[in-house]
Amino acid sequence: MWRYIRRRLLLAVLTFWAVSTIVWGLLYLTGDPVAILLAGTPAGSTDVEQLRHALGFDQPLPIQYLHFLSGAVQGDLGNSLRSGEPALLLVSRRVGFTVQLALLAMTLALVVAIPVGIVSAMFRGSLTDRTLMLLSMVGQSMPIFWVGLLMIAVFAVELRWFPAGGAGGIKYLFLPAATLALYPMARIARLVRSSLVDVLNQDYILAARARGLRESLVVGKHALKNAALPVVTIVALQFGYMLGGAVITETIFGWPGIGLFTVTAIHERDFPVVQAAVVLASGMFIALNFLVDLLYGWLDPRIRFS
Amino acid sequence: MNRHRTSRREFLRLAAVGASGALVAGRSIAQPATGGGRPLVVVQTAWPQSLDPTMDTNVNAGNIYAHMLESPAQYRYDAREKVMKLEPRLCDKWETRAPDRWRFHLRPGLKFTNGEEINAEVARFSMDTLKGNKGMASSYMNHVKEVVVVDPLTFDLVTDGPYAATPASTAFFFFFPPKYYAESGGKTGFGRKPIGSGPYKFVEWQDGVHIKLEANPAYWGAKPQIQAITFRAQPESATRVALLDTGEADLITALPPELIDRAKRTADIRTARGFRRVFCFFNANVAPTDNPLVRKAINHAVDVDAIVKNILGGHAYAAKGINKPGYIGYAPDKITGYKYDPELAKKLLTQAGYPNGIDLDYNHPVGRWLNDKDVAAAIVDMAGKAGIRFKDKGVEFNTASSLYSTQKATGMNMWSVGPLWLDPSFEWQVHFWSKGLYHYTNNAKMDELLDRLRTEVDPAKRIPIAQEFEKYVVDEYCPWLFLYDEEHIYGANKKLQWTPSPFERMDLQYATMAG
Amino acid sequence: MSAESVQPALVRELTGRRSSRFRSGDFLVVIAFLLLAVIVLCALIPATLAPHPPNQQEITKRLLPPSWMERGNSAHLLGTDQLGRDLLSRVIHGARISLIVGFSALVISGIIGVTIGLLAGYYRGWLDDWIMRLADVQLAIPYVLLAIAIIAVIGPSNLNVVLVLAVNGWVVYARLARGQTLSLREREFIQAYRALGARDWRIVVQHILPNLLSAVIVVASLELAGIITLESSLSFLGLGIQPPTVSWGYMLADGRTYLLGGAWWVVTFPGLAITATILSINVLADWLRDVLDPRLKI
Repeated sequence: MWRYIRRRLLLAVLTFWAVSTIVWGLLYLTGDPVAILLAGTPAGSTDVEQLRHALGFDQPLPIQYLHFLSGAVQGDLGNSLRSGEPALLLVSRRVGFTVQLALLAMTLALVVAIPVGIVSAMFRGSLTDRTLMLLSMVGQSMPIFWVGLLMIAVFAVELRWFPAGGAGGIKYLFLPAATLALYPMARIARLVRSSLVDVLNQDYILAARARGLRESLVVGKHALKNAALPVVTIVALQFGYMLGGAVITETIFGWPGIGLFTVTAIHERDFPVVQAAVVLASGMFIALNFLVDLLYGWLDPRIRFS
Repeated sequence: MNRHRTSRREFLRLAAVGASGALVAGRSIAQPATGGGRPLVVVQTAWPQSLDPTMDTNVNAGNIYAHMLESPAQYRYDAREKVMKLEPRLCDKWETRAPDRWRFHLRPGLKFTNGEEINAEVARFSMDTLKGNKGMASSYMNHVKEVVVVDPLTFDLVTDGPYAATPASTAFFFFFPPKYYAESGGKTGFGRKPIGSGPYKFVEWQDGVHIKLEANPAYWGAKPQIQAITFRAQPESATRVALLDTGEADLITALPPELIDRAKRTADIRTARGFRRVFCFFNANVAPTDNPLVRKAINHAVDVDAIVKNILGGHAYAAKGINKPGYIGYAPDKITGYKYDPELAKKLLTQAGYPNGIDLDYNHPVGRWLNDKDVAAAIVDMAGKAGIRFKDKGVEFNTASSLYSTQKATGMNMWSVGPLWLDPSFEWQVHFWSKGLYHYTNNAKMDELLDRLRTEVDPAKRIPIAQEFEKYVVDEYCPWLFLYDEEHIYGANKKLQWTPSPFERMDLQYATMAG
Repeated sequence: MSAESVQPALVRELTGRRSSRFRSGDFLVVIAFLLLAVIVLCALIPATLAPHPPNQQEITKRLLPPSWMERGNSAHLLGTDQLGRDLLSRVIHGARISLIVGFSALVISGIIGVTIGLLAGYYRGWLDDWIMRLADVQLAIPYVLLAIAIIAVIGPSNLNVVLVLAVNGWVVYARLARGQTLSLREREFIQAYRALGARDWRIVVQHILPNLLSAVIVVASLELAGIITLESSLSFLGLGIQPPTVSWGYMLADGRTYLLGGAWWVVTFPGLAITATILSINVLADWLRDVLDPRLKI
């Protein structure tokens, strides 16, 4: 067991390193951060060179990389090129908002999607099933900024139930969470249904029914556990995406999560901040994956023992 | 088993009650804006990175710290005369001692809100901080070699060669309390909790939520009527308008023209002709744009008035030259400019040796200026009709910025230049000076005129130089496709008495709230 | 009643009320098929079907409402956008790029993902670990950064959008294929084949892959919705399909401020086009999956 965990830990560290390096490399491909910093100012080419030297961007790439790596190991991911504050500190201020949004959105999605999927699967072919699935499809095909703006138009401007945007209390969280939840809700509902239908057609379900077991027990005990596998995959992916920052939702509602923050930093080529944000997001993601792997093992014992 | 099921049901019932309670509480968010007591809520397009002027020069930051920090002189918009004036602020007068030395006299008895005195040492400290912080504003005072303390209330700015715009440039020379600046942790600490001497002082900054200011009771000047201001940020313009609609915002910035009618239903629109000029520059060192006939042809092929009227809804000002209203030497009647004439464009192209038209790249940032995508599309369309075939290359703003600063961009490149101090030499030196960052021209006469303009200190003598420069650049050399000046459009609560300034400083200390 | 005739009824009863689906569901499938046919036709011969060139601007005729409303013009059935371009023509032309980009990205990411997932799930061990770490690494990189980097290096083009979309999507298939392969691998009949000495690739292709297929098709149809929407999101950020190419995602992102007031038609019609396309594809994919259901083959 410990060997397993140790190996997983080593792999996590390796993943961290790979992500940081790739992002570091990608950032350098995207343009000159110093010229961008000084755009629109009286700075001339000499000023740009001076600043480049002061910030260490004129050193050969391998040296810059080593400098970055040695700092990262000590927890110092550099300072923002814009505000001078430690990059990790800046990002950590926004993480809480992202986690709140992701948790509420995923909860909303699951609370609706799982029962809908189960009901659809159990009554498959019926009008209920087809209506629910049609609604799911529609929900999945609406672009998220559409949904967000419509929510604002209806629930904020017309009905005045919620604020139109911003942050500062739980009432600001509802509309963004509902907007973010729509796509995963629809997707998970469809997946639960189809996964369950697949399982319900299997031999051992047939056998259970032939044994005279109650339908709810058949579905609840045997089918659900096995249908869960692909659903868990997608749920984990969606949640990971939400943790990485739901950029569009955050932009539409002005929700100060790390998604919009990272995109702005990318646009401004604030390299240290982008790196810090990606490292943090990938850290959460890797942790999530670890849990999912454990879950796989529990759901399907055959995997655990091979 | 039974007990288990009941308690679960009970739990669900409680949860439902709790949820609806939260909904009901949410109903009463948007109180209508009244005066005094409730803070004025201003919603901008983005959060500042820092409230330290040496680090963040963006308008979203400037609008906030300009209420708290002061400088020797500051621009103020005179709404009656419709002109920007450089007014004494911390310094009540200044004069030239030598072509490269300006003397400034501080008002006596001024203090920061933490009690520290404002004196000539503070001036020197602030200049050292600006240059030493290596932030966005680090090159703003490049023309100042040193600050000399003459006596506690007098200091000299010694410039590197004569620089006419020195007093104007002090509008960006903000003063910081030296003791507090060091104690708070330098630029990172000060940038989150600034202390100044202005009409407002800092209260708190809850990251991502709001930045709060309140009136400074010890302010040396006229006390503001609005007692508290809350700044927020909302990147999506439709949402900003929604906030104005519900009353959650009293003032919003960057209102797009297509939402003006919507906003007018419940609020007012306030506009000001801005100093941000949008244009396209050519690389005058590379064919085919190295031929002035080609550049002039492109100017004749685009109907700027139609673009302003139809795509920008009239919310822009066609600008045929390179000088701006209120700047020294501004005289649009003295230049000819280029009229929309596609036939003439074709003729000029043939004259230049391109009877079948030309193919050019058109680099332009997307999402940076109002309706820039549509403006670019319209330009491509119009020019196409005159035989100028543009390859539309819309890119993200900083990709363009990065490309332009290499001085290797070819074809036509859309850009804008905004004011720092309201003197033409600043903007012209960025583009037309051999040491400028976006130097795409190659002309000895322009260099010579520009050098004279920068160093000639006597305003009377500068005017003819500026006019000669503009006439030459616009009518003869033609390095740009001349487009328009942006209009600043704000949405405001009807009860807010406030006029926007062309200089993009909110100056809410002069605003009042009726009722 | 012979045993044979009882058997199907018994099977039907035990496997749930499945038969009713085919009778009334057929109607929906037919509609979806017709709708998709129209869309594909638009993608194939847009110039013939569209009344105007999609990029023809008439800025004096901007923001005309659809012809049935007042101020509407019969020359512009669905109205015009902010540059005076005919909306109907743009919607028709948009079909081509949306379908091409959507399907290309889907196919590329599907093939890559399934292959990788199969390998990882079947061989397990260090190959599995490395592949899954690669997936993690890639997922951790924000797609916006990837998009900007690609565009900065190769330059803005429509190919880049396909690249970004494809790179973004392969992980789902890999995870799915891996998960299913892991389960299937342990099943008795697979073990039996291996014991009998059957070659690995045969086992994979002949026995594991078909079992995967219906799940993959369902996921793929779900993914298509995401891909078309993601293209729209990239356009929202200014990183999507570039003009003069017309895409629904671009039209949607571009005109979104009109959602709150004013020229609603600028966003509604491309939005409906997207929704219709995705819906019909999903309905057809469902139907296809039923056809492919191995259960029926027994």
